[in-house]
Amino acid sequence: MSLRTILRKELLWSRHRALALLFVLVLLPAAFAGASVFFQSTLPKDAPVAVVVEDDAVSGAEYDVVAASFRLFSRPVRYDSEARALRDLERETVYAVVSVPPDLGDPAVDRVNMTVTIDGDMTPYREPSGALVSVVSATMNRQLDTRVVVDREVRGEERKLASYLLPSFLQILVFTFAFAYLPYNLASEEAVLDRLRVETSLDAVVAGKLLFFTGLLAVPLLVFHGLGLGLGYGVNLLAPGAILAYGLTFLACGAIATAVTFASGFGTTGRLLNVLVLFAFLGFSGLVYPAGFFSPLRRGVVRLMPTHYAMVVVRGTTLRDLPPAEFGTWLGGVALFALAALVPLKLAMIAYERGT
Amino acid sequence: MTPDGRALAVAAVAALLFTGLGAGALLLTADRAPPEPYEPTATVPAGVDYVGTVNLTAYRSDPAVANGSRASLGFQSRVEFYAGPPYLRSLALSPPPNASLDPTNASRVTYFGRSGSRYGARLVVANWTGEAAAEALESRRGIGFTPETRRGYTVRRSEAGAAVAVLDNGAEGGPVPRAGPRLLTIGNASAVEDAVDVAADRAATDAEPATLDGDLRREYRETSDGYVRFAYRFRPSTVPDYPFVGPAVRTIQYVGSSYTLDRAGTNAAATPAVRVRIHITSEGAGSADDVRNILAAGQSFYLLQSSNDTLKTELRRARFNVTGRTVVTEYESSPAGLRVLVRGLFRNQPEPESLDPPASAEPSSSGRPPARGPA
Repeated sequence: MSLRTILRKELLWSRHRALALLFVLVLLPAAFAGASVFFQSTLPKDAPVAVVVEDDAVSGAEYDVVAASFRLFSRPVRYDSEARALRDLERETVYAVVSVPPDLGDPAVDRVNMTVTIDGDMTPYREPSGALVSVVSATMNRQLDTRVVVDREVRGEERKLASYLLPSFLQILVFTFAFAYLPYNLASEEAVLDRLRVETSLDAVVAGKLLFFTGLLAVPLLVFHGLGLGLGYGVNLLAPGAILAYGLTFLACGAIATAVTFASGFGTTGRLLNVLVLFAFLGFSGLVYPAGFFSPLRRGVVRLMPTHYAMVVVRGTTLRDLPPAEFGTWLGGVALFALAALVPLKLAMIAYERGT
Repeated sequence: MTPDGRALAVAAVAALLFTGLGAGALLLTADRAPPEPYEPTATVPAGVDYVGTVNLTAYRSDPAVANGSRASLGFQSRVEFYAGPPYLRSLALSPPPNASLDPTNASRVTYFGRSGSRYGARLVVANWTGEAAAEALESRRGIGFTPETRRGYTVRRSEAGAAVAVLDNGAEGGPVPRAGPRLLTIGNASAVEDAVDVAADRAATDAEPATLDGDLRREYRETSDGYVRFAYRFRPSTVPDYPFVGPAVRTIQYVGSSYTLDRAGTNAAATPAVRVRIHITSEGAGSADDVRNILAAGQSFYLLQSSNDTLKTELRRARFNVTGRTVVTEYESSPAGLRVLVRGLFRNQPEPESLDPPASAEPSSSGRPPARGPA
């Protein structure tokens, strides 16, 4: 067979798989290129920080000066209670708590101390926060007559990056399991599914598969936990809140991936689409970096993703040993997301059954 | 044709002739339509960097307007970091003692020019002749003017580089609805000649005058109703070095200002105000946000540190908005507070007082030494 013949065969093959090629060669590159707009800076320039007024003696102008100084590299949010600000620091709603001291504008006062509190478990923010404090300190001292000493206070132990990343990597595995392995497994069993439908309903078959794969997650969970213990990371991946968050995340993502698989008739296009969705979840769930790290646009998208809150719950319960009840609302939201994901799954299955 | 027929034909031709002649006579004797008034800026040549106007009638009649106008003009003269429009004594307000000019006839001065250049002139709306204006300049400066003709207009030129021309003598309409010389241009010879060309093109029906256009024209129009109006475009090379975003800032345009008097309440309580608009264009929307944040931070520091309550009130009215990649800064202040605000905005710029007025660094358009006073 000559090269020319082979090339002609490839061309004919391409014609028969135009949709898959369109996806791989056009849609996928466009999605990746388009995603680049979400990445604008390499510093957390838009990460929310709580600005708390220490007492009633602080004037509005003093608060404005502090907030404006932080706005250069953050998104200041006004808090009236330090306790609430610290609680939101643990929940990653804000990434630092700034206490505005009184007397900033008093020319009779020579020196004022200001505290910026960060969470020691939020490893990727630790170094940038040091730079942030330096910039704010320099700016304020250049502009104000009063000398301002900005102290950076780290709350809790300063966690190493390796242990910080452990829960994130497990979440990445959960996404990959849902969007890559599950569709592959479904496609490989397409013929078996038809036979099983004779004896039971497709709903039961799919529900059983989702539940089985959710249970299978226990294995990597134990592996991660064991390795974490062995390496002395001090991460409790078996915290009930984390297990719940991982499980709900897999159910939601598995339902989406299964819906795509059925809707595409177990075809290659469906698998490629699942890969695209996988990248979207990986990129916009705030798995590693704080929301607002790369751009305000990305922060907005991240804050809309239920899987981001699942990740925050996992970090809160595994790294900070917070009780699951602390994240009751967010876990409920992730559960609702998982339930909502069952709707397109059911629709896709109905369409599949009618088609076959 | 019978004799009767011939008589009828002659009568008809005669009637037609009489009718035609009568109609022609009526057309010739009928009043011509009154000429359309136009803004002096219609005679400003294209390609200038700044254009401004001073309302001299209000200046003469109201001390508050005069004080505010002086301050506003003084600011404008330095606003291009700081080499702005000429800021010289004016024939319209302080003519030489022996001049035959009546300054009360001058109602408005429009000035234009190019930054960092001698190119510039004033368009004076006044009931003056070109000869009287040239004599007044001769008297003040000791220079002679020689009349030349350019496209039907008389341009009086001096060897020192100044020139005077009457652009509109009232016959074709103009900015003042009364007879007599109406619009003169006085200034650098090149600028005066360009203004003459624009006026000639305006008068010609088949030529399109190359006059003020584009962004500068729009910005000038948006200064609307001030006693002192000013629109300008900065050169990009004068962009200050902002902290954190310095290289991202592309241009800063002092796009316009107008001086007004708030007449709400009693006349004595009138509050003078200069409305200023400045556009800062950066490389992208993100850096525009950064610039806005920096400006807002500067505003906060001023509000905390300043002991001047009036300035604080003015500062609170300052607005910094982002439109695309442009930060639009707008504020209104008393002429005295304006300098402080602008220094805060244009970070790291020197105090205006520490610099020589621009005309001392190089000769003004008319070659005169600088002196305090409006255009």
